[in-house]
This record gives sequence, structure tokens and C-alpha cells, in this order.
Amino acid sequence: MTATSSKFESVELNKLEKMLADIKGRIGESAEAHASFTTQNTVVLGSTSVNGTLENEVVKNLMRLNPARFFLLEIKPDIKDINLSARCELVSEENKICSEVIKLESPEDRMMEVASILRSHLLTGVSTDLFISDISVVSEKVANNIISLCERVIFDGRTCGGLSKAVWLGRFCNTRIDLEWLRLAPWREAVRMVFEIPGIANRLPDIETITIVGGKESTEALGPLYMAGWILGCLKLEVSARGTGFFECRGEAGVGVNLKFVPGDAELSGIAFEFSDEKQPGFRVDMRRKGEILETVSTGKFDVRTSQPYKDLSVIELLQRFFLVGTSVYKYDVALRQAIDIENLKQGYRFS
Amino acid sequence: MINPFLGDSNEKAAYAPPTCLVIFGATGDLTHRKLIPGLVNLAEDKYLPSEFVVIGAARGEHSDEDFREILWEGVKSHSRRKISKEVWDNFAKNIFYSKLGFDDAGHYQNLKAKLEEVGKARRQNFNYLYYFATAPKFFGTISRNLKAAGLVEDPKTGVRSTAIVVEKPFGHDLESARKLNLELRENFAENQIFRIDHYLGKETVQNILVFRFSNGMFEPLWNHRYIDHIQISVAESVGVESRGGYFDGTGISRDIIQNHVIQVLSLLCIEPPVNLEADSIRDEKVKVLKAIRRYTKEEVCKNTVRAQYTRGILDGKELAGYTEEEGIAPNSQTETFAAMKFAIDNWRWSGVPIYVRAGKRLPKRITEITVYFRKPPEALFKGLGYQQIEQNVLAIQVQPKEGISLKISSKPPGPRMRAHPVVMEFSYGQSFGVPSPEAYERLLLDAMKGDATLFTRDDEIEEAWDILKPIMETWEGGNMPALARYQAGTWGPKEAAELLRRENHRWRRL
Repeated sequence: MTATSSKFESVELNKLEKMLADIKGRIGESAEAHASFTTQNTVVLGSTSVNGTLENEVVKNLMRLNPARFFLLEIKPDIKDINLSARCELVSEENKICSEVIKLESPEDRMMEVASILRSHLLTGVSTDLFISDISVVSEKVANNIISLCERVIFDGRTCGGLSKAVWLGRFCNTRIDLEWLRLAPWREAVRMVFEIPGIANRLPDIETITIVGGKESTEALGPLYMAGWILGCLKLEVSARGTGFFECRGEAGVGVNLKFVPGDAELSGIAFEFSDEKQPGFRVDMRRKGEILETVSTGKFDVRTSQPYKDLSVIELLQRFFLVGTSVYKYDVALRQAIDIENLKQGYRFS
Repeated sequence: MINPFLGDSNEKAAYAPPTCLVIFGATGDLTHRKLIPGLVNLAEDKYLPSEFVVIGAARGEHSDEDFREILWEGVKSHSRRKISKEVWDNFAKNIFYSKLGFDDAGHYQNLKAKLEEVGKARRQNFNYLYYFATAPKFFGTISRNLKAAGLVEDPKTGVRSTAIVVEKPFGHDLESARKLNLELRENFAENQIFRIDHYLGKETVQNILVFRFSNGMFEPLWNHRYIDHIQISVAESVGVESRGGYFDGTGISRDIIQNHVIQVLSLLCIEPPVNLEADSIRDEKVKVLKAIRRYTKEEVCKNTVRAQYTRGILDGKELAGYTEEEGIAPNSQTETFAAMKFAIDNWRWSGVPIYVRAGKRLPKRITEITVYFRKPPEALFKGLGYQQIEQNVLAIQVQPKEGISLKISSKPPGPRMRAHPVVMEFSYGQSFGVPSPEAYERLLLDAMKGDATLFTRDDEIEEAWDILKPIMETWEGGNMPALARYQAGTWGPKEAAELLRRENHRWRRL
């Protein structure tokens, strides 16, 4: 009988790889059998002082779904040296898949050394994701040294400083994944589904007004901005001017649609599409969140009423969803660019 | 109009719209063994729509509770993973039964009422997906009656999506397939018809596209300059089991080659599609099918082998010959094994033989696509007194283990300069922590989402029959080539080996 996981053990840097190999041997039948089948590196960046055990939770919940070499990087202001420890967990005995976890505790001023350790020990030939669990520890110095090592940076725009932070992170890593964007997936799905109804899809060219309801102070909330950006991107529209209480959007063919933001009682609580009255008077599609239900109602042409469950997912659940299903980075980038355009028009200055 | 919000294919893969699945022939084997276990597994993986209902329709008299109990037995026996009673009970709340004689118009009104009742109770604008798990002779009757009952929406203006899924066999020959297509299209548009070929739902088959077009190192080699020949083998160790009557009227060519093998072949040999939309891929597949050479009678005799198994031993057990099996005529001429050499007359595949074989009572159950690359010039190694350099072989295993292996030559350690074949392997089980779903799971989900990529279009079906037409006519008309024999538990008749030997090829040992 063998153990299937080990506890963190301190290790000197030059013995790290040997120690990991030894641990793998100890938790399985033989070291040889545990060839690493991991397909990527995952760096979790945060601080225990703020997020408690979130980083450990991330590793615990992702290692089965997405076996990787994990680096837990904690920025600690109260220490001087870099502490290094490691452990392994056999995530699939049958298939001999092992996840390795390397914990690095470091003060902020030793980021160059931390980056050098990462560079030496990131698994060769596979990509590296960085999840920022606590944006407050990500200074310019940390970002320059650590984020730039990674292919994708995952963050939660809702708690990480909103649109401006999303733009800032783009300076260090081309591929950004915002968990707030993932939270909006049920909304995007509701929009997709209602326009799958042939009779409603046929009215797409007749959309006159799109109203996004959410955020207490109109466009300040990230969710409504992303949602508006996504819809405009899909419809190949761009915001062109700001009117009183609305934004004017135009497409290549010069078709105009008005975009409105209305404050709501949640981050995003509703979307409405209003169509021109010429063919069917009063035709509109409304989507509203009612507690744990996302309801879609169309009136004026078809009396269609449909609903789907809407659950507020935790950060861990969102990460699991991301690694299981993924998302379109291209679509996110388009939505982000559109959101920036809206904010620029609103604020009268430019983010980027 | 195309839905502009569908662009994010990854997110789309995660959801299907609220769907009411109506299974015709709901008390049959397919429902028990594949459909319901597949659906429960989808539910367990959280891929099913948030609102999902199954209505079983069949002739028998059952209450909803009885019907659920019958299905539960099937789930216990056939689910790919153990399903707890709690999970089942939760899922089974969405299952209902509706008595339905396929030709009884009144029963379709009852079905309509049931669908409306469920939609109202759940406050959903359900899409309706009709699964014809019945014999093909009922397809026309059911689709006509659905249309007459107002259960088929116009795909351009309707208030919901309505579609049908039909099972093979899709016709017995080209004429019957055309007739069946016409019959279905009288009531449904082509984009509302999902013809299922479960091979296309297998991960490894889907991986063919990814493998070919996302690996820069293989696609440049994927043509007659670098590929010597291709083999596709579908071997079954079982005999006809309880399907004797059906199989004897069908044969292995219609049962396996016309659909599974030709589908795999066309996917393997397509030109890069313009995008991954269903029709873009299917357009390319049809081009391949059109380019497969139609044989004359003489060519059929030269390039095909048909055979029937006789008594033999498999895994230490003595087995009866085909004509001794239950339900088989003693003088049956039905082939239980077929081997064919195909040629694709287009620029890419000119001169590359594609050998296919399918058989019953072969030594093991295995399906494999094998691509043999041309050998490099041997000048460098000639005369050094060691064995010939072997061809690079890329083997895509579809079942039972899903994965890909690549045979390359390498120098073994030691002072001698030698070349020895070694194999690089990728196995789904070892590379991904998540187990592969059953083919039906993927296909059911795609049908719910209206994604037809992994389903066969009418012209694909007809082209596939057209390829087989001269072969079947020659076999059945002139009794040529003669029906060969092979012992159960062997890899087929010597004539099949001869088919390849003529061109200095040989079947891969599976």
C-alpha cells in the first residue's frame, strides 16, 4: 500500500528536482512509473495574509482536472529569504498522473530571484498559466518579473480593480482571462439561445436599442461593460458617439443602434433588445435575472418565455469551468476593446 | 439568418438549449444500452441543458414510473460509470412515457398535448428533438405524422427548433437510400435531419481533424508524395450474436464499410475545410467520396475480397461456423469479412492505395487507421548487412484503446550501427485526466445544439452507397469473386492477404 500524496517538505533549490522525483517514487509503486504526464505549468500568485488558503484550494481543485506543475507564489512582506518547499500528489493512480506543487514564499524585493527559479523549474515545452488570487501583491516589479514569464494571466476583474487593471495586465501578458467575463457566460448563452429561434433571428437587422441593466452607477461595473462590448462585437458595431443617456453605435453598413446603460440591483441584472416597430409593433426581447433564474421573455411577435438556472459561481468553480470548457480569448479581447471605447467616450479620456 | 452570437465555439460546447427529446422506439435495445445511459452521463458531467425532458414513445402500455424503472435497469448494466440511485432519481424526474403506435394519428395529438403540457409546467420554450430509434421502415410514417400533428416547425421562421435523429442502416443500397432521403425531406429540411454514425462521435475519429490540421509537421506529409498506403481495419471478435436474421440480409460491407469505414476514410482524406462549420467539413468529405473510383466488374473482382467464417477457435474456445449460427440460412452467401482496395482519383491521393477490411470472428476487437509513409532512400544504409529500414507508421487506434502511435527508426545503444523500430505513443487515458465520453454522449449533445458536423448529410450517404453499388452488384449478381472462407479466430482469408501482397504490402498485425 502506498500513499497518494505528500506534505510540503522544505528543500534547497539545487535539490528540488531530485526531491520531487523521490516524492513521486514514494507515493507510487516506483519512481519510474510516474513519468510526468502533466500538460502545463500553473503559477498561483497571492498572499496568505489576504486570501487565507485560496491558493491551496486552487491547487487542490485543479490538480485532478488539469494536472500541472503548480507553483504557489506567496509574496510575504515580513520575511527576508525565499522559502522553498514542495510536495506531490498522485491524481490518477490508474494512469500514473502526478501533480507537483512547489511553494515559494518571498518578499517583494526578491522577485528577480524568484523569476529565475521559475525559469529554471517550469516544465519544458508546455505553456504556463498564472492565476492572480490577490491583485494587491502585484506591483510593477512583480508583474515585470513574474507575469511576463507566463502565456496566460487569469484574474478576477470584479475584485482586481476593474477595467483599468485589465488594461494594465495587458502590458505584461497578451492573453488575459478575466473571471468576470466567465461569470457572464450564462448571459451570453441566453442571448445566443434566444437568437437561435428562427423567427427572432430574422429580426436581427431591426434592432434599434440595446439596454444593459446593472451596476449601481451605470457603466462603472465591469459586467455590463463586458456584456455591451460582447454584443456590439458580435453585431459588428462600434460605439461612435455619446448622446444623452445613450451611446450611438454604428456598423460597417452605417446601421445605427442605441446602447443604453441603466443602473440595476446587481452587477448585471438585465439585457433588453428592442426592435423597430415597422414589422411588428412592440417587439422586444428581455432577459432578467431573478434570484437564481435567468429568464428570457419575448413579446410582440412570439410570446416566448424561457428560463435557465443562474448560479453565482465561486472563484474555484469559475477556474474549474475555465479549464474544463475554456473561453474565447479573441471574443474577450474584442469585448474588452469595445468596453474601453465606451468608457473612453463616457469619461472623455483614453485608457490606452 | 446566421446567429451572430454563436461565435464562441468553446462556450457553445458547454451548453445546449432547453430540449425535449422524444425517443420513438423507446422500449428498444438502443434506448436501454446507449441513449439513456449516455444522457445520464451527460447529466452527471453537467452538459445537459438546464431544462431537459425525455419523452419515450412506443407501442406498449407503460406508466411513467414503469418506464423509468425499465430504463434504470439499462443504466445499471450499460452506463460507462456507476450511477447512484440518487443521481438516477433526480434525472428520472424528467422522463415521461407516451403510448404511440407509429401510424396512429391520434397518438401524435396525445404526444403534442404532452409536449405542450411539459413546456407549460416548466415554463420553457423547448426545442423538440425526435430520435428515431426504430427500424428505417418507420422513418417515413413517423415523420409524416409528426408534420401532420403540427410538431414540425419551419426552420426559418419557427418559434422553436425541431429536428430528427435517425439511426443506421440508412438504406440497403443507393436506390433505397435515395427513397428514404426523399421521404424524410418531404417533412423536414435537410438541416433538420441528423443521421447518426456513432463512429464519428468517437474521440479518436474527431481527433483526426485536430491531428491533421493543427500539427504543422503532419499536414505537409499528408499526400501521395510521402504516404505509401493507408489501411483501415475494423475487426470484431463477436459473431452475429442475436442479430443473425438482420445480419444475414445485410453483410459486413453494408453493416460496417458503407457507413463507419467510408466515413472515417473521407474524414482522413479531406482537403482543409474553409472553417469548422458542419457544412464546410461535409462539403470536403463529399468531394473525397466523389473522387473514390467506381469499379467496373473486372476491377471489383481484382480489388475486393469477400469471405465467410467457418468453424474455428478463438481464445481457446471452439466456435461455430457462420452458417451454423442461429437465424442464418445454411447456404447463405452473406459475407462476414470484406477487404477492399480503394483509389482516390484526385491530386492529393493519386496512386495511394487505401485498403479497408472489416470482419467478424477475427482474433480481437480493434479498429485502427494505419498510415504507412514512404521509406527514405536506403542508399546510406545499404550493404552494411543489417535489416531493411522499416516504414514510418502512424497508427490511429479508434477502439478499444483510443490513441495514436508513431513508429520511427532509432539506433539501439551499443557500438553497432543499426536501425531498430521504436514506437512513440499518445494514449487518451494517459494524457488526459478526464475519461473519454461514449460516442453517443457527444452526438446526442451535438444534436441538441443543432451542430451537424458529426452527422452524415444526404449526399454523403448517397455517395457512399454509390461507391459500394458496383461492388454489391457484382458480388450479388455474378457471384464473383467467389466467397472465400476463413476460420473463426483468424485474420481473414488468404485472398485478403493476397490483395495486398500483389503490391508488396501486407496487413498490419493488429
